[in-house]
Amino acid sequence: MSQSRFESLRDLLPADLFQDDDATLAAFESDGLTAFRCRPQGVVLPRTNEEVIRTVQWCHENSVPFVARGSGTSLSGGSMPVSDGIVISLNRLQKILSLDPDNRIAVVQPGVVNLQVSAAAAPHGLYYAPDPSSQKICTIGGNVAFNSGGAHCLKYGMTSNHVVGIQAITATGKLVEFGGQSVESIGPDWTGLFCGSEGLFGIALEITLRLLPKPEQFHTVLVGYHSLRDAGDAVSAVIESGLLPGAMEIMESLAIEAAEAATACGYPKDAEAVLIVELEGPREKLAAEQAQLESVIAGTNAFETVVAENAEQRDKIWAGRKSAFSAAGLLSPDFLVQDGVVPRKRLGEALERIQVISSASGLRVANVFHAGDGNLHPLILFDDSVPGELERAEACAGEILRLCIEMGGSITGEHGVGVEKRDFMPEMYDQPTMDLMHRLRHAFDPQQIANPGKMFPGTEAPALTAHGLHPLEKAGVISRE
Amino acid sequence: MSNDQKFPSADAGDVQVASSVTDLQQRVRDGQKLLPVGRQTKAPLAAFAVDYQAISLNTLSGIQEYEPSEYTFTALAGTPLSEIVAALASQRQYLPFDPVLIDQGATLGGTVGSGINGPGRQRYGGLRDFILGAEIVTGDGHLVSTGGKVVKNAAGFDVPKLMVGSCGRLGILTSLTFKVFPAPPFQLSGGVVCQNVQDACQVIAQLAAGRWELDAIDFDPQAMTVYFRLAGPEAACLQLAANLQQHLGREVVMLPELDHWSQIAQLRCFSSSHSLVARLPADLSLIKHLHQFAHQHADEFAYRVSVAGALAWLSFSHGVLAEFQAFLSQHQAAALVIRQEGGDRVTQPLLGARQVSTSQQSVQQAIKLAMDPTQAFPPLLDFVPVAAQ
Ligand SMILES: Cc1cc2nc3c(=O)[nH]c(=O)nc-3n(C[C@H](O)[C@H](O)[C@H](O)COP(=O)(O)OP(=O)(O)OC[C@H]3O[C@@H](n4cnc5c(N)ncnc54)[C@H](O)[C@@H]3O)c2cc1C
Ligand SMILES: Cc1cc2nc3c(=O)[nH]c(=O)nc-3n(C[C@H](O)[C@H](O)[C@H](O)COP(=O)(O)OP(=O)(O)OC[C@H]3O[C@@H](n4cnc5c(N)ncnc54)[C@H](O)[C@@H]3O)c2cc1C
Repeated sequence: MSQSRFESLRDLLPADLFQDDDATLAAFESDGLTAFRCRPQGVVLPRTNEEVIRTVQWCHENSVPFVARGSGTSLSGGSMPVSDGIVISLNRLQKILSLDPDNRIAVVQPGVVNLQVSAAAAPHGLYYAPDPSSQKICTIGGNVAFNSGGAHCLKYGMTSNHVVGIQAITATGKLVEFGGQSVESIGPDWTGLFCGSEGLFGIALEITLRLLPKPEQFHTVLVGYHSLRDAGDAVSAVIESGLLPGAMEIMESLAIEAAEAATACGYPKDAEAVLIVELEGPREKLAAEQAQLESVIAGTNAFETVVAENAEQRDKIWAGRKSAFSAAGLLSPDFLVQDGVVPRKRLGEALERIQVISSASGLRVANVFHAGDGNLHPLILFDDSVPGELERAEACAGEILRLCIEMGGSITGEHGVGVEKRDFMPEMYDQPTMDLMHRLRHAFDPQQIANPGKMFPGTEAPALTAHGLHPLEKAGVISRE
Repeated sequence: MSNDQKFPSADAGDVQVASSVTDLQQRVRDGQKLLPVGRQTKAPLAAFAVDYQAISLNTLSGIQEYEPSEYTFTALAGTPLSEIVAALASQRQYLPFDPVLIDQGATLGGTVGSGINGPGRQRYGGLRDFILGAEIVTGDGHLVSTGGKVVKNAAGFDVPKLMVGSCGRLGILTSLTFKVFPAPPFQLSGGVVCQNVQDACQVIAQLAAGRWELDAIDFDPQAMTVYFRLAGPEAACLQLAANLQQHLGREVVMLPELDHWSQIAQLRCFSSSHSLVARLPADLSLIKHLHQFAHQHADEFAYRVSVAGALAWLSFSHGVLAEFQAFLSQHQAAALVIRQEGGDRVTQPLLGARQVSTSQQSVQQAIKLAMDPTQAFPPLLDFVPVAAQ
């Protein structure tokens, strides 16, 4: 498309909202999956819904692709631009439009940062439950598009479980309002369909969120095991006991080593695996449940158990866990992270198979995972300066995803398909199901201009460059789980 | 069920039974116009699809996979909820959203199709929050497997959620996968007597935002009482109840046997002179208006509040329908008729007149056609004003 066609977009918007200088374009080239880069034709930085709507309608009329963008922390290339299109950056739409403590509902703009919702709700004793570890920086718009999770998904669900209504502009320039102000609704759950659509349906402009009362207390336990299998068995034992912990996380030795080096978190020495279990709730319930947890753990092959006595000790336990990914940078110049899911009872088997894949590829894999919901986060360590290692790492990642599919799980628990895993979609879903998803996309976007090249295979792959930490991780602003 | 049998509709005798998933697919491919039904527990949702053959999934019944350690089960859509609830209970697990009409024979498919939650929705969320996967015969006769069988999955569009509340209009559910939770060892119900509806709404808000983690918070305006349910270890429940009473500074009555929960579970009309039961998504401010409306039509209209004000269950006679439609329009609200127990019938189940723009309608219609390209299933429920008598 000739440059002059973008002039009509520039003219449509207030001065400076459309930018196409090199510095701006470079800043938007990639997201948290730094392996993929692509320079867009321009970036629009709207300040109002009206400006977003006008821009999307212009894209629709001119058949120009657009990519919505929050904070660009996607780990699957979801917010990576397309070369013949524009980026619509939503960070300036960052108002909490209303917060109703009596009905425990907040209406927010898409650029509102996840943690700000909880901050605004805190004076009312409320919080916003989904807690991706990027929550200091990622936006609600991005969370909605990816149906993001966090450490507390098993008990409280993912983002979509906390979204009760969405106002959006579809790729055909139509304004829609799904759901409402109540957690109950009538008719098909359009809101649920929009959540997790990875920016392929259109742009969310106003999002109505459900708030929960803040848990009164936490009971956090760190347990050391001499084998990964023992840690896995402990997870099963907790589940069988009837307890419903808020979080259950496992880290294995390589990840512990990295975390220890990065944060001196004081995890049990010589542990092959550590398990973190966190209960939360009113003190009366915790008193009963922590005794129950203690006896369950006592029945496992634990060699050391540390109970956080106060908030500071709890933070220290979580710091080790949350630093695991950025700390992997201490073990290896580059790494790839996957987030496949397997049935919980097959976790041990999955980890053994990952070990085999790792040995065969000659690359080390550090495992960290949301054990409560079977969500693996294998970190595949490699050195991009060694020819062929990146390709081997990618092959290794692919084998792990196939393993998850074969075990009846999923290729992604929370990071989304994006660019990275799109080729695996037809392996997870059969042809009729893929056809249905194509038809649903077509219903919102017959021209395929909203975030093209994502989720569905078959589009030209963007250039690969070095993998590494997200720039904000390097700066120590965020860490991942 | 016995109530429905007393009042069969014109098409009631004409329910055909699907013999298998392949049979369903073949019927769709043969161009049959179908409406999937379960055990007719929410009859009005299926009625009014005049030119569509009601097709029962009762023979597609049975739990296919249940792995307590995974917190998941998969069952055929025609499986009675009673069978599922019993299987879960034997492993001390449950569906926390309190599915309704279990004793009346409600099926898993009909529960998803109607999208109805009981009072337990308050604590952990509703059907939409526990559905993980769905196999569906779409309008082109294909069988699709959407979502997943594990508790966490972010791959692809969330079609299972879309099916919640779809009332048989988007496809035929043949098999469903759900997340389940460990059942609490003990439950304790109580009531707080309030002065008026404003006071009750305040109590509801206080309870819902409090530290007690209540499982359910409902309100019965006739008894002017807010009911709550605690769940967990027995000692903790008793202590929490005592603390709650102290905190509110008013009397809290413990209610070991509370009719309210079972009335909601059975969706009974609250008065024998009423013929219709409907559900109305709401918030506390709408509840206050609803209270006035009910007061003005005392003999003909009654309501209960569930899910801390997010839902009202309505029971009313046909005579008040026109006024109620006007009330809904005034407040931009919509209600769905779930049961009709004799008397005059509504001509369609969706009441009210929420303004839906034409662009929104066209998007919803496009989604409908993506699911049902040949229009094998009835059109989406729409607002058709019911003529005043
Ligand atoms: C260090 C680190 C830790 C992380 N930890 C977690 C974690 O624990 N759990 C987890 O789930 N994820 C995690 N992530 C991934 C990422 O943070 C989430 O996917 C997040 O939701 C992305 O938000 P964002 O604002 O950065 O969105 P972006 O990356 O800008 O965009 C993500 C997707 O959303 C679309 N989008 C953005 N805004 C809108 C909108 N308004 N309407 C429609 N579509 C829109 C984009 O087109 C894109 O497809 C982590 C990432 C990093 C870098
Ligand atoms: C004895 C008898 C009495 C009747 N009485 C009445 C009456 O009083 N009033 C009246 O209007 N009609 C009546 N009917 C007709 C009846 O409404 C429909 O034919 C239908 O059987 C009702 O089932 P249901 O939807 O309530 O079942 P439910 O199982 O409760 O279904 C609820 C909703 O979910 C949908 N659904 C069910 N299963 C699936 C599935 N597998 N996939 C997708 N969607 C699904 C249904 O289409 C419906 O919208 C009666 C029928 C009989 C046999």
